[in-house]
Amino acid sequence: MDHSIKLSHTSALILQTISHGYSYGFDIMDVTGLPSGTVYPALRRLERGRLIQSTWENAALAQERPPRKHYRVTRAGNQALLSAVKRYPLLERLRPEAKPKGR
Amino acid sequence: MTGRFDTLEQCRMILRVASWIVPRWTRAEWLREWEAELVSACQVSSQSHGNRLRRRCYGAFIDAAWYRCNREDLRHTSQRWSQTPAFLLLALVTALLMFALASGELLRMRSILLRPPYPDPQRITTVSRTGVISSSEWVIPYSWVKVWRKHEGSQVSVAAYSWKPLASLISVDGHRVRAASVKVEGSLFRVFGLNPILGRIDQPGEVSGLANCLVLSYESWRRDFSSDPGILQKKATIDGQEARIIGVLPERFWFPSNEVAVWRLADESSFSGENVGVIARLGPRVSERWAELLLQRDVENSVGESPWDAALQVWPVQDRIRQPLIFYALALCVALLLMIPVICSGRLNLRPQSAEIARICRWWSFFGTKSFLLLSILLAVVIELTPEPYVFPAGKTTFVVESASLWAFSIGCVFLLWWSLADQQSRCRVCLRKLALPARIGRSGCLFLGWFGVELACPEGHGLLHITETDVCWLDPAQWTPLDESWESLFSERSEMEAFK
Repeated sequence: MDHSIKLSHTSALILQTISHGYSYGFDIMDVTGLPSGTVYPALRRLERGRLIQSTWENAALAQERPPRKHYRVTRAGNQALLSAVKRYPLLERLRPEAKPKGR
Repeated sequence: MTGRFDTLEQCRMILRVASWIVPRWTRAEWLREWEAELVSACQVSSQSHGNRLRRRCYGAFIDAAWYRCNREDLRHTSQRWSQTPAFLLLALVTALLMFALASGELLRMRSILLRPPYPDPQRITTVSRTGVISSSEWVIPYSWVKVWRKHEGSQVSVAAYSWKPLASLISVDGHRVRAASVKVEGSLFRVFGLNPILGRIDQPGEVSGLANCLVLSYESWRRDFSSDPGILQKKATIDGQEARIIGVLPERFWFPSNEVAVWRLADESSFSGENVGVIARLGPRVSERWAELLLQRDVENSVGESPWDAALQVWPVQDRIRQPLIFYALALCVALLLMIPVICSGRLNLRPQSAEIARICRWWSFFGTKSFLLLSILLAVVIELTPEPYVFPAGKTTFVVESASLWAFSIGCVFLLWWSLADQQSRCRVCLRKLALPARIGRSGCLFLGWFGVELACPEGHGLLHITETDVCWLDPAQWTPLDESWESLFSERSEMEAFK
């Protein structure tokens, strides 16, 4: 994916949220306040653009619940995010707190 | 606990319904992801979050719909669909239908192909001079018409008209209408054997009293005068001259073309000195050749014209209207003959890959249907947009030389058939899809070391087509290379997506 890709503000916000460790769909909704009808299609688009990559959680780690799908930002995604932050300076202010490890 | 269980079940139900929208190939994974998030959310949230969870689950419908109508997939699907043979045929049919609607349901074409709207059409003929060079000389001096009328008997009755329609301004009770009009003798409608649906046009002995009377077409009466039954009593003017409307003709009648909405009746004095078009009704058992001799003899005896100058042609109107179709058919035959050597030479390599009869039939029937639709559109366009009147003011020779529509049709035929062949060449020999992914092969100027050409691939992976760009006779013609199963993986991702959608 070309790193000069232009992301929408919403996509950039979601990408930034994932880069801060909020890797599950519902967690991204909680942090950004965006509805599921916005977050999930954006995740699909980002994944198709290879800016994020999804993997299934290890079943052994998921106790008493089905394994969840989590997303992580790829190298191309990081580059796209850097360009997006330059493009949307306010995105820096909206930066969510990094997710505490182990949550 | 029960409330939370209810919420979970309700949300699961919503997700299951939404999952029906998701394509089958990814439905299970999609549902698994959403259910895992749901269960996880239920474990950590309290009962008060039930509504919030349900709202989130309703958002699953939007997520599911994304799989069906996201921009990339739609573009990809439409791109792939546009490569199919069905798309081309549908596009051509749509173009034909759109043109038919825009042109008033092919009014001119129907007028030419359908039976003329007057009785005994085979007995209604045009009379024109032969041996003339240009179309302006085909018309008849009005003095001849007067001679024929003097000798008019049961064998031939004639009527004159000024064949060139005029754009006129008609005003009735302050209501103004622009319409094409043509000057005719009052006896014209008797020659045609027509009875008006409103009013009366021509009674024997009344012809001279019909000067400046107007007869309306049924379509104009309905469209411009709202089918007013009292129109006959109203005062009218045409191009500033006082006139009176004396009749409305039956539906679908036209002469000499469909554009004419008003026939302006004129007496002998207004035609004197003019060259006119002539319509004749042949009596029973009077052949066209016999009528020609009769009329010619009258002119020679009464006016003193030489037999050469008085040479006449009597030609049924119906044949005259349809005569261009014969020339169009001839032009089409010439175009087809020009294409035969191209097809037979094998340079375009127009052969389906399989020798199965069904495949060969599909391949050539697609070519036939496509060419037929293209030529139908061309014919419809040429006939509907032709500036010439239907009753073409010329003999057969002058039509061929002067008719712009015939030349346009001939050139159009060659061009469209060539395009149809070129389109067929650039289609897959198996699935008939348009070949894509063009790749230039070789270097220009290196014809002896390598071929300079373009290679096209079937989007389904059935084969490759190599087309030489430099058309040199000693090079091989276009080559089709079938691809075996080992190439499948290259095309499988797209095919799989397509199959599941």
